[in-house]
Amino acid sequence: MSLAQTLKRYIRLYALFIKNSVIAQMEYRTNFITGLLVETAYLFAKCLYVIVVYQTDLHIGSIGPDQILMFIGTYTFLTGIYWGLFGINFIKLPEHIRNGTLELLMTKPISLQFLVTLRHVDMGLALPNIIGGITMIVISWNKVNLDVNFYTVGGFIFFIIIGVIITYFLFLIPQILSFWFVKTSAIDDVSNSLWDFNNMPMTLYPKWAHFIGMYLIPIFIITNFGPLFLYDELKVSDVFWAAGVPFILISSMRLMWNKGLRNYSSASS
Amino acid sequence: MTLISVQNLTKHFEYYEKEQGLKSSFRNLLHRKKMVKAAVEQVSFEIKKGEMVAFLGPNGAGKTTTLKMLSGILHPSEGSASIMGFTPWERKNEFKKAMSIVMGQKSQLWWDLPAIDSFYLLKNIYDLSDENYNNTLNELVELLDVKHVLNIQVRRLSLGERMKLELIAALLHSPKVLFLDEPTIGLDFISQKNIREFLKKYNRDTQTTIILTSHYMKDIEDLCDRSIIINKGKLIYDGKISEIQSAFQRKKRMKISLSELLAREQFETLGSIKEYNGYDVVLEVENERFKEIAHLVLEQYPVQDLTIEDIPLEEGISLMYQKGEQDQ
Amino acid sequence: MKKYMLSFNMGIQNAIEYRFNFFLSLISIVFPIIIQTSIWIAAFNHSSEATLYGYNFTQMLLYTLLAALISRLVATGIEYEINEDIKNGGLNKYIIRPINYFMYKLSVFIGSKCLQYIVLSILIAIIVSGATFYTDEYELGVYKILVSVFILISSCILNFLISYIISAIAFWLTDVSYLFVVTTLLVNIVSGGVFPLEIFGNTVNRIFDFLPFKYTIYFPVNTLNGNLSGAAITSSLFIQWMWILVIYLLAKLVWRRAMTRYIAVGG
Repeated sequence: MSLAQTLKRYIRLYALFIKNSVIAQMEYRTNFITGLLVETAYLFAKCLYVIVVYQTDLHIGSIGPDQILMFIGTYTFLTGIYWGLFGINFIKLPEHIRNGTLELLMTKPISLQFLVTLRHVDMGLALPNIIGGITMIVISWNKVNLDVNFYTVGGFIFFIIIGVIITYFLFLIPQILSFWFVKTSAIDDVSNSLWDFNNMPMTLYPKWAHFIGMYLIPIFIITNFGPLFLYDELKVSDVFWAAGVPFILISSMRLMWNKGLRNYSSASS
Repeated sequence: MTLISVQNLTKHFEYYEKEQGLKSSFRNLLHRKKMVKAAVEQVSFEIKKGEMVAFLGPNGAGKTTTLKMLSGILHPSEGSASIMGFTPWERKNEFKKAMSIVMGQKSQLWWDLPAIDSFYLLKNIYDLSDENYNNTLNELVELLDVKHVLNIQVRRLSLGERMKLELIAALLHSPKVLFLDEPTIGLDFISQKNIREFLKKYNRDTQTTIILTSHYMKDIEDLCDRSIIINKGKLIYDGKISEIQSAFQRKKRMKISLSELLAREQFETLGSIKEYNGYDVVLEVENERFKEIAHLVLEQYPVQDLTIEDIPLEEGISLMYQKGEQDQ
Repeated sequence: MKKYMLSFNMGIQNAIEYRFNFFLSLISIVFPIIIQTSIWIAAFNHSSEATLYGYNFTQMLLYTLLAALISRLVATGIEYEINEDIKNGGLNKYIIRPINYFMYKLSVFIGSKCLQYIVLSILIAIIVSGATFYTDEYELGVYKILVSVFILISSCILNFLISYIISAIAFWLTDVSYLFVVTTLLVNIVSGGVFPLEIFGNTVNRIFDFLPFKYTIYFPVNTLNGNLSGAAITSSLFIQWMWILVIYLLAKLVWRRAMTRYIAVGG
């Protein structure tokens, strides 16, 4: 099968996943509504940061509250994407491993990773953050008086897409640990807290944290680079690094995934 | 034509021991004791195309582990297997498309959706043509008589209906080999019977090779000519079912509780005494004679309670196992 | 009493079994602390005022650190367990056995929290003594230490009771495990576990005054960081205990009704 055909097949499958998820959610409206509630509560918690930023007239270097709002908005938007498309599957991976449903999925003639990590889509988790995030981005965009043209919007979207890709691989990696450990809720805790670093411009943090968040655990690229690009604060080398990181993450994630799977199929009975 | 050939298949796995109590919890903080268990040990056999074979054995004997290795889910620690020329645990897509596995306690259907949506997803996963898919689906739906539940959420269906749908899901792509792990577990009598009849017919019509594990004797008797008995990870019997039946199906076990004390001698002529304490007696009697003996006991002895049961599979197998050791 | 000791031991065993998780979860509270501390450093740097929201820099840093630790200290998570017990019929075991469900949950809970209590107390002690050592504007006498310990214990009791009463929702609504995520988060926010309650403004704070939540985190934190005067501590402590009593009685009432309902519908 050629690459184009394979790609077409997987896109068709993903469309089916989405369709099935939506049908299932409409059937179980309570789940959908509780999902909405949870994320609205989290959105509220994020707004506390906005409140503090504006009330204290927080300035980080040359960046003021209106600019900071762009970071919080991007972070909120990507949180919606993360939970709605990926997170909902990632947290099920330990369950799949524990009660053995992974075994049935392993016997299917398509990529196991695709099947496990993208099967469910949760609109309830996604919507509040996506709507809240876009609102913040638009408000900030206006208040800062940014141009709306192909270059700014296109560039911003480019970095958002890079952010989505990095999110997927970076946050899948810790879940793969559940191939080795039984109880992993703390891993979730840690990676969720790591994720929260993103709601502020990275220049807020000390230099060593920059370094870690840019090069070791590249979380800052996810939500910082879009706004930084808009404010013209990205170096050319940063752009190249951002474009390269996904490749590094994909290979390390695949390495771990295969190792975990091998461990699973040789250690359990 | 040999379709499956297995040689010296062995599976060891490690686990950690946890003793009861607080003290051992603290000890485990520092050091956990690693244990190795042999789930399957040096198992070899061959299976021909179109055969229907049963893996038989008590819980934890290694049946399911063997099945999982054959379907490519698990890696063996040693040994080899070839199914249609593939090594299962290489997990080639061609292999996956030619086989299927159903596990009695695990579902591959989406519970929140009607089965038909799951089937359509499987059509796309297995890349089936519309024509192929529609034909197979219609045939299976007809055979299993589930047309009326196709559009109902799987969650709302009975266990028996769900199992039928699981079977359809597994057979949509017309696999050449079908693995069934405890397909009738938890089902009521009629559903069990339906599923057995379906499997029998499907095997006959399509010549699909079927391997199933079960601990219900009835499943095995009805479906398979050949059974492979596994106990404590080792293969202890491979052959006709009718022959093992003679080993432990010839006798019935009778538990009698008495309201008065009776001497042991009173029972000696009836059958072999397995247990005796004056008030409770366990007898093993010949199959042909159990009605007559039950009658006799009820009439002549001060019986409080009387139960008759088959000799449990576990015991039958251990009987066979002992016999096997003696023969060597 | 012995059966509750056994339940307590079971809790400890569980905690030890999953020790990996406990230590990782300790790491995870470090991150929000870093984020918030960074925000306050930047805010105080940029601001011309000496205090923000009525806290000086030291008090604010102490607030951030202590609020995160005390949030963990008083956190329970029993809502999820009780929900499980109700949904899987596990509750039946306790109805037919001569064991009080509340006491049982409490014993297991304290057992599973033991390790956390010890570690968190040490961390709080280190932070408080560190603050005494580094700045002159902060002092904590023996008397205040004793009072603080008592307040912290009371806070744990109060929050346990609040969780216990919230978990009764599971009797009336099905599939509430998600909902408990919401309640936990909201309770934490209005208890002052994320930011000082002052950020909500005066009007909202007047409402908070009439709710029990601020007495679980906000109150002990402000006692420890030196923001509350002696008189304010005494009156708050009084209100805290009033809330403990009120919620205890309320919990009893709610649970009695819930249990009758539970038995009536047959689990």
